[in-house]
This record gives sequence, C-alpha cells and structure tokens, in this order.
Amino acid sequence: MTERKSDKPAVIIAVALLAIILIGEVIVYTSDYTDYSAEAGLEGDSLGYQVSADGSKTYSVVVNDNGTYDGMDRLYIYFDESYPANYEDVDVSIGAQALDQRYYLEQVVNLLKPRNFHDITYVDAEQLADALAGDLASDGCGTAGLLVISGVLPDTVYTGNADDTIFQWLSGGGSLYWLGNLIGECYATTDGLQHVDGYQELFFGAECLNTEGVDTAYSEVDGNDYTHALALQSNSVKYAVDGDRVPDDRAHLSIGFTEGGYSSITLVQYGSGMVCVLGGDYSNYQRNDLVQIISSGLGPQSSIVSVETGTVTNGTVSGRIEGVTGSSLSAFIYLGGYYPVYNKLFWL
Amino acid sequence: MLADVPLRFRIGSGFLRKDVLIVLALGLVIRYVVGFFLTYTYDVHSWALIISNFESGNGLYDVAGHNYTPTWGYVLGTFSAIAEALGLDVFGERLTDALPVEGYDGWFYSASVPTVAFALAVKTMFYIVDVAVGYAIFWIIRERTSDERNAAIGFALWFLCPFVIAVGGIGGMFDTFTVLLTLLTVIFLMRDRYLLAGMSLGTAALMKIFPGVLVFVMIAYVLLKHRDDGKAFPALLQSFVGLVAMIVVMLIPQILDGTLSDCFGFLSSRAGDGMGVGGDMITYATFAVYAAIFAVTLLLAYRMARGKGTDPDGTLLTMLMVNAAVLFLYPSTPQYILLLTPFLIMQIVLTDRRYRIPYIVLAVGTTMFALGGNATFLLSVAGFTDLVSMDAVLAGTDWFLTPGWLGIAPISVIYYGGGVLQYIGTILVLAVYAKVRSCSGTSAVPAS
Repeated sequence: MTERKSDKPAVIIAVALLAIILIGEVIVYTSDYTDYSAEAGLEGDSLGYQVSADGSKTYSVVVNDNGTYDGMDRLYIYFDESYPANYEDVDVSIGAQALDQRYYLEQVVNLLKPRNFHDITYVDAEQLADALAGDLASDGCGTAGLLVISGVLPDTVYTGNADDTIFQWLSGGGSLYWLGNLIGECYATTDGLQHVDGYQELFFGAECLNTEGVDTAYSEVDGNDYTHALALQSNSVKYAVDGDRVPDDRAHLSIGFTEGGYSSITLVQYGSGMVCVLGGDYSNYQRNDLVQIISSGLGPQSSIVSVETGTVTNGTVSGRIEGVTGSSLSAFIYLGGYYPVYNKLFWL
Repeated sequence: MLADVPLRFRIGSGFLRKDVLIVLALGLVIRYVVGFFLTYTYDVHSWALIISNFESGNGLYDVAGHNYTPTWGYVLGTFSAIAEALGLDVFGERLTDALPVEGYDGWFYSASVPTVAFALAVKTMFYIVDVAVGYAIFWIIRERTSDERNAAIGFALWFLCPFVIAVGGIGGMFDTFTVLLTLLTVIFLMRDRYLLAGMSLGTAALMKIFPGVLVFVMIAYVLLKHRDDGKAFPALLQSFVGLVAMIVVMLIPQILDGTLSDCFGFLSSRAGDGMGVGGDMITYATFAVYAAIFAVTLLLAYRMARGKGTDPDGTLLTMLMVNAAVLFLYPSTPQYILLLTPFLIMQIVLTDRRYRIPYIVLAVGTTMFALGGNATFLLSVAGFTDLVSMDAVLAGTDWFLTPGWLGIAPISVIYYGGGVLQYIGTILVLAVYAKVRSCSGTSAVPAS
C-alpha cells in the first residue's frame, strides 16, 4: 500500500484559483470609465486641472490652440448596407472577429463612450442627406461631424460636383472623418460604384492623395508632437494625404506617422469645416487613432500649447499649467497612455 | 475528509525537501533572468489591451482584444487590481523605432511593446502557477509511489523544462493555468472529490478548450473505478453539477447580455482567416481532423471504461497522456504542448524511462518552436532600458529573417525545425506508449 498524503494543499490551491477568477469576473464587469474623472478650467492664462482614478493610471493633459476651429459635439455615422461599400478586407489576429464595416463601427461607438463623446447617430444614405440638409438649414454644420468608413459616399450627398450637399455642409463648418479608401474617388448608387474625375481637387483643391502604393510609415511626422501627445498608433499611409501638396489657402495639420510625404492622419480645412483623412485599411490601431482624434477636438489649425503628463494612483491629482493663451483653446485629458481608459475634452 | 489527514509544512520534507527547494530556486532565477530580458510583445501587449478594454467599461468582447473564452480575462481582472494597487501605471508604448519589425510578412511581431515591469508582473503570475503545477505533479507521483525522490524528479522535469519556462517566461502565454486546473481535476478524481473535479475541469475548459476534450477519459475513469460499487452515477452527477455550475458562473455576464456567442467566436476563426478559398479549405480540414481526433478520444474512453479495473488511477494518468498526444496530432503551437507535458513526465517517472526520448525531443523542438520571436524578444529591454540598443535588436531580427545558406533564413531552421521536432515528439509519445503497452502484454489499457 502506498501512503496517502493530504490533498488539502490541492484544495487550497483550487479554492484560491477559483477565488482569483471569480473576483476578477466581478472586477471585469463592474469596471467602467466612470471610475475615472477629469476637470479643467482656465483662469486668465493659467489652466487648472484635476484628474481622479481608481487604480494607477498615467494621464496626459494636452492643451491646444485650435485657431478658427471650434470643434463639434455630435457625430453622424454613415452605414447603409443597401449601398455598396468600397474597402479592402483585412487579416485580423488569430481568433479575432473579422473586421468588417459593421464591427468596426460598433467598436467606434463603444470606444467613444469612455471618451465622453455620446451624441452619436447612425444614418443611412437617405437619412444622411436629410441630416446634412437639416444642418445647412439650421446653420448647425459647425457642431456636427460625419464619420464615413465605407470607402465611398452615397449619391444622396455626393455625385462628383462641387455643389453637392457634402461640400455645402463642409463649407458651412461640418467635420468629415474619412477612412477606408481614396476619398471621393467614387460615389455609390444602389446599383454600384461610379468613378469621379478630379475628385482630389474637389476635396482638397489639388492632387495630394496617396495612389502610389506606399503603404507603411516608419517615422513620426516632424513639426508637431501630436504623435506622442495623443498616443497615436497607426502607421499606415495608404489612401493618405500629403499635406505639403494641399494649397496654401487651406490650413492643414499632418500628424501621426509619415512616409513619402503622406501622413497617417491629415486634417485639411474646407471652408469653415474640415476633412480628416486617416490612412490605411481597417485596423485596430487606426480605430484607436480615429476615436482619439474625434474626442480630442483637433482641427486643421490646431497646435500644441502645452503637454503635461503624470500618474494618478487611487485618488486625485491636481495641477496647473501657466501661459495658456490662444484663439480657440481646448484641454484634452486622457488616462491610460497608449491604453486609454478615459478621455475628456474641455473647450476653454 | 479533509480533517482526516492533518496539513503539515516542514522544511526538509515533503514538497519542501532540499532537492525540491534547490530546483525551485534555480527555476525561479532562470525564469526571472529570462523573463526580464525576453518578451514576446505581440501577446503580452494583448493582455494590456484587454485590461484597458474592460477598465473603460467595454468588458471582454465589446471591442477587439480578447480572443478566448472569458476565464483568462477574469484572471487579468484580479491581476490589474493588484498590479495597479502596487503602482503599475504604464503598461506599454508603441515604439516608433521598433516599427520595422512589423514589416515581416507572416510573422506576428509587434512594435506595441509592454514595459519590462508590466511583462514581469504578468509573468510572475505564470511563475507562481508553474510552482503550483510542479506541486501537483509532485503530489501525484508521491501518491502513486510514496517516493518523494521520484516526486522531486517529476517536479524538476517540469519546473526546469525549457519550453515550460519559454511559454510563460517569454511568450507570456497563460496555458500553465489550464494545466494546473487539469491536474487539480485529476487529484480530485483520484481522491473522489467529484464536485471539485467538475468545477476544476469546467474552469480549465473555459480557459483553453483542450482540457474539455479530456472529459471522456475522465468519465471512463469514474466508470472503471466504480464498476463494482455502484457509485459511478452519483460521482458523475456530482462532477456534472460542479462542471455546469462553473460554466454558468463564468459565462453569466455573457448569458445575461445575450453575447454568449462572442465567447466562442474564436473557435470558428482560429483557422483560415483572411486566406480566401484556401482559408476555407484549411477550415474544413481543421474540422475534419478534429472530428477524427474526437472519434479517437471517444474510442480511448470506451476501451478504458471496459478495460481492467486493477489500477484505475494509473490507467487514468496513462490515458490522459495518450489523449493529449492524440489531441495534438493536429499540429499545435508550442504553448498547447504544456497540457501534455505533466502526463508525459509522470509516465517517465512512474511507468517507463523510455518516455524520456519524446520528452527530450519535445524539450528541444518545442523550445525552438517557442523562440520564433528571435531578437524581437528583446524589444521591451531595448525600448525601456539602456541595456540593449534598438538598432541591435533590428539588426538581429533582420539577420534571423534574411535567407542565408541554401536560401534558408535562420529563423526558418529554428521555428519550422522546432515545429517539426515538436510534432515528431508528439508522435513519439504515442509510439513509446504502443511499445510499452506491447511489452507489458496488456490489450485494452496499459498496466501502470
């Protein structure tokens, strides 16, 4: 007979392990972005801020001078499966869900919530036309953004003519966030895609889009520090804009990563509004950058006034930044660094 | 009953005997040195991403990041609370200087690099669990032989096994948790704690799916063990209750919000994604091979249940090794081999030393296979310390991936060569089993 030893240690290990897992389950499903908070306010040229967190988090306070751009506070998301889309399928991580247009947009909405951007409306092609027309009629374009990731605009707002609804809306102050393909190269009818000649001039006043097959960038954009300040991550410049080829009468801001003159993110002025192009096919990095740009309120004339970083651990940290001056100031606070868990934008 | 046998801890005896403590110390030193310098950024970055996803209120599946059943995400929940309470605030960065590593097609190299502190914190979890797995192996061998020296050898074969160190200490993969839960299941089955056995197995199967396949051999064990005393049904009922209870508890958030399918989406997308028609063929082939493996698993369980009942515990340990080896006849990545390893080690110590041959082949092959990250393993150290330059890492990576002699890149020799050796090792497990079985003259099940 072999001697029987106690199996009590095994029971203890099992109970401890199950406790770790069950406690973790509670933590996972009770954690929320509301566990964090941020406040900021300007007194003269002194910005006071306060950041709170459960747990330990790095934080960044990015103060921007946005020139004539006042940001937007509501977002239309175009999604209409009765119209063709024009984007490339992409490989995803092993075991991950296929990254199609629907899943991408679902994630954008989920990621904008902890970034304190809540006014989001899905629109199909007809609703998009009505929404833009409504903004034009009410002079509300300046407070609206439009996200299009289908790679093609529908014929209800764009048919390749300079007087299309989309251009009127942009002139009136609308902000268009675009990714997935060459902006404006085609428009969509319910029957298919229609090619547009001179589409680059229509949107940018010059040929400046990446049609050369330069896909990947390995350097950061020079001239501003937004790549680090906003923890930008996508280094694809496919379909991207070369800001230097945009006419001088249109302000532009190139940020992120660059190759061959093209930048992973470029914001270009269009009348009172702007067009923001994110390079690359669908990716998680690109999606992260998109929500970071939308929630940061960045515009084509934005420049960094100051960046302050620090750590907050189970409590509140306060700080003050002096010498904050500019024409349209904002303070963008986010927690988590390259793994953001909470963002908040303050127009000062 | 628990109270029947008092729990004693005495330095110098049992698991705290001198040789075990030496192996423990040596194994931990190796792990921390290796873990400090080498990290597979792709997966460890994912753990940071998952934490940020649920901390922002998006649970495990609302945004991309967690490609498993939820249990591992729950472990990360507790981990994040402890790590952040201890002041771990920066998980990682996307390093511009490291971006070129993402330019190698077909290799999962990432310039999103976890900090050394984050990586080591995660790995410390694995190291603790490695010790617990080693204890479970020690316990089972001692239970079978009453020989603590043999048990210590079993512990050493696990704790100093190079690919066990590589999978957790470099790869940052959590399979050691699955192995621990599976071994706890075995211990509880051997000690007739069927509720706990079911709970452990349910949790293991929801961490990685493979232990779930072993359930049939375990059912056969209960039928064999209780063939003559009529206790099989209540034992299986208890196990079933434990198993179902844990599955429900683990999945209740997804059941309540109607997203249960998200937990298992990875099953259909593990093969063939983004490969068009070829991908479809691979997917169909995968399902066909797994169907065949499933059929063999059922056959093993059937023959075990109908076999000799003289040594059910020994038969269970042998059949779990055979079943795990059959499972990995569909070529697996290195981390999955961890599930086979403890059962192979037990056979070396308990039944036949010839099993050391597949162990050695696996130790070499799986370790090579696990080193596919080559110089990119140094990205964390290069990015967050001054010990290694990023230029050296990039040059090293380039050297490993540049075709050289006969147009073969060094990484191909290491990675694909390792993969082939791992597969040979898996087949050798079954070959040695067949040899041992034929020598022992048993028909349906082996004598242990």
